Amino acid sequence: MIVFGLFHMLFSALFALLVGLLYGGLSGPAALVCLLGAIPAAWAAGRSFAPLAFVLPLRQLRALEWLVLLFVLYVGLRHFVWLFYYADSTFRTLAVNNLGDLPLHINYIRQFAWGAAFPPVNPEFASEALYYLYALDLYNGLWEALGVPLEAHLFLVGLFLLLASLGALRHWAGWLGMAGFFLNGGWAGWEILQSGEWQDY
Amino acid sequence: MLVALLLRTVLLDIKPPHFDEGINGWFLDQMWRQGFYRYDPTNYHGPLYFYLLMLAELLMGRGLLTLRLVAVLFSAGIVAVVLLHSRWFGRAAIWAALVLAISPAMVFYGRYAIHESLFIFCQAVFLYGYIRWHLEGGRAAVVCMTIGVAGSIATKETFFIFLGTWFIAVALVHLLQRFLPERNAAVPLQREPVPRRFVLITVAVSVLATLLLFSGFLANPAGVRDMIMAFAPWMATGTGDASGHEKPFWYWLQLLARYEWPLLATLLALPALLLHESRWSWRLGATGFGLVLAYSLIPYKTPWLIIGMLLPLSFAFGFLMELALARLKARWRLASVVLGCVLLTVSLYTSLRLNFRDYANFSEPYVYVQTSPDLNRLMDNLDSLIEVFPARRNLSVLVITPDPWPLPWLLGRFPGLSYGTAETARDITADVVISDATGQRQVEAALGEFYFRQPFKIRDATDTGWAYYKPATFITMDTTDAELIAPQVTP
Repeated sequence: MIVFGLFHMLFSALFALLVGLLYGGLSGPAALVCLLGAIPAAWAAGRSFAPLAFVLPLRQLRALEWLVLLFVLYVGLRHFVWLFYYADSTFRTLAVNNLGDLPLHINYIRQFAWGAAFPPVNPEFASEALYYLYALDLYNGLWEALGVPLEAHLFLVGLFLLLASLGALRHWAGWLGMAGFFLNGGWAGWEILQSGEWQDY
Repeated sequence: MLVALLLRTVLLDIKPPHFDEGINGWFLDQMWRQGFYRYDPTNYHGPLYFYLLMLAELLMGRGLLTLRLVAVLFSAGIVAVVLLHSRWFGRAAIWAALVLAISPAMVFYGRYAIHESLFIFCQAVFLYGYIRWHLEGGRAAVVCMTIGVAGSIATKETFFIFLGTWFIAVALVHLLQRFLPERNAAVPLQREPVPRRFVLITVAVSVLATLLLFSGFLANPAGVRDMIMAFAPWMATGTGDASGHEKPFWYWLQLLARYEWPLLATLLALPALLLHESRWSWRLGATGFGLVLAYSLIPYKTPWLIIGMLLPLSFAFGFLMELALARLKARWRLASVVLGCVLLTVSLYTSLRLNFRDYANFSEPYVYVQTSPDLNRLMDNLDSLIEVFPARRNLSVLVITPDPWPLPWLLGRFPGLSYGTAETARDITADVVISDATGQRQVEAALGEFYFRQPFKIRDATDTGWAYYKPATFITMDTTDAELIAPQVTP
């Protein structure tokens, strides 16, 4: 399932690029064609890449792996549910680090969804080509063009990629890989020992 | 299932938001702000429904339809779970599902964003698990039972009324069987064994999930303590006489007589179930009777609680229909089917009338603490303005009424929302002012400009108040029934 999902993202973005180049931009129906067209392609590719089928074999997980998995999922859910939300008449995000990046990516996503010409220009610098690696934003742009709320597809894509990362890390490096990658917060994470407060927002 | 879904989804936003929907929506707003649901045993219900609403809002955006769709799914889910019982009960389960699919109460409260549908869904899942456990065994039965119990606990504090009544009914039937042994008992199926380890793990996961929900996913550990302490305040609410929801003993029978004819007939014919061979019919019938009795004894009564009684009674209806078809002579069999169909037709007609015509008719007992359709006019005035001038979302709204729900949730998306009292009102210049009837004189004396005035009644229990709109802001407003009032110059 994870491999299928990853290939679906890949092919959807590729088809969107092709459609954008051929027809000058994306639209709702074009996005639907890209997302639906990517399903058989992803299914065929997933079958061909069976050795890469890193999944989370829940029944085989050991206690330590469960512990890391549940903790990362807990933090991940917290992060992605509150990635972009509305409170006190303001749009907000939980992690301060997102304040810079999130508006940039929303800008890219909406630019694609609203039919930007291909190859895309940088929406922040007029007449400059977009050099940023935009495949993921293009994929989110397809859902946006279909009318899926921004918060919803940011959450779903983010959560899916978190699960894919956990599956890949577990496949290649076991619990240490999962823990090493996701719990790598440096000394900053030890602030709780000083403040005694469980605070992530 | 199609009928159940159609009745619950068509024109889903036709009713103005209910008092409780406004409160539930407001809690959701708080959850986005705080990051968790802060459980309070003295005022509110369990956290599960709020987290499900939150997920729905995340996926579909903020709005009344989003909130109501969650209840619709669970209300239709109850019908689906009842249908699953047909593997053991045959057509009796299909009759039961049909009654629930068209029941006026099931449809009416299944179209409200309140806890009831989820609560009864959890009970239906528990029943399914319990019966499956006894008849077939297997892991799915254990999972269903634990999900049903944990879900009920995490949804409403009154879960023990259903569980207590169910186990009392089971014990009574067990005793009764000594005197009336089961004739022609079906040969017990080979029950699928379940490893004890699996049971322990399932129960442990359910307990952990319940604790996580009540503790706000560890952000509010006091919620776990409050979960246990909840019984005292809820017992006080249920048996006290100051909530304003006290009703006479016969209240449920009156409602059944007015709306739920198939199930009233079932309640009256319950003793006939003793002729039914299946002891499950006895258990479910006794539970239905027990729930009606238990809820009748409790003075605190709100009409949506009735759907908890309808679940076991609907099974009893199905068993009675099957009993009639199996035991009666051909002529009476036909009469029974005709009677059953007439009762169901009346139920369907009542359901259609209540849900699509009289949904805000305050003389209907099911229409309870319902907001008046005047609210739709207020929201239409605001929405049509913002559609033309999006920047007007920043307009100022002043609410002057001590009982504003569901306005705090509906108007919560306006940054310029504020509250006041008629006594302290001075030089009002807000774009919209909403006042109850008692504050009219003081509010109008304090208006600093010309305003359009339209009647605004929030609920049947309140007198008609007024909504005031500033003409300079509401230039697109339909003013056919609005009066223009001038500012009163005070010496």
